[in-house]
Amino acid sequence: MEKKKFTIEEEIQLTLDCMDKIERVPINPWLPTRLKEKLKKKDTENYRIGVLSGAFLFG
Amino acid sequence: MQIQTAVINDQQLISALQQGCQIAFKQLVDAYQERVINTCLGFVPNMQDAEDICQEAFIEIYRSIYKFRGDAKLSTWIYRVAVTKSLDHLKAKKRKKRISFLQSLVGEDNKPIDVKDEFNHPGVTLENKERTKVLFAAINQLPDNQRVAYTLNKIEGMPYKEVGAVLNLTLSSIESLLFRAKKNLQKSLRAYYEREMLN
Repeated sequence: MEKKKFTIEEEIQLTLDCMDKIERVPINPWLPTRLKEKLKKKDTENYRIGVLSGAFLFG
Repeated sequence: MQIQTAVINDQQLISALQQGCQIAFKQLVDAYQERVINTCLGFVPNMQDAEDICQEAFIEIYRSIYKFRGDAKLSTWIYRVAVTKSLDHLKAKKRKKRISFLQSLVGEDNKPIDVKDEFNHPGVTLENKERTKVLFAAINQLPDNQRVAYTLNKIEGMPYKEVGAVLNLTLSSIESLLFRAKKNLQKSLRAYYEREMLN
């Protein structure tokens, strides 16, 4: 079957309408765990940076 | 602890978060992650990048909740963080693209990233993928304030008043931004399809 050809104005409207057809993405049940790990990692990094800058200051 | 079981309001949640309560943070993530990830995807239509931005947004929220004074609604503030993080990501990507382009001019192997190829929005059906990709490319050309207003209104279904609260603008400014955004989108889409039809 031949694909229907649209005029430019129809194409514009169909394209703009696509925004209303986007489905919502569901939640990721692992996100809180990942965030907890990331926060822990960042705290460790910050602690290391603190220790290193302390060593530079006083070493 | 009461916070574990009861449905708490935003004020109670903010107080618990400001006291560093981990359970409250999990509750906040559970309550807002659907809105945050979908907002991020509205700006960066790539699941992996959007997930990273979403995580960065929640970390920022966790770290700066003590600054939250309650001048705006909690949801408004969370949207602001998600939008700012998404725009920062896009700006960093544009910078990276410019640098790779310059490197390619001086003979480096790095090729500029093709934004269109990175379209990977899980909420878009195969049938609508091509047109949505074109739409996102057109939205990408809008000025930031028009882009934010359009995305929040269309993706999040946010009323004008709430968009105004996120952007700190009046209702009439939002109406005008959305009107201009639509006009600009029509203009760039028309140019795109005219070019396509010529080819």
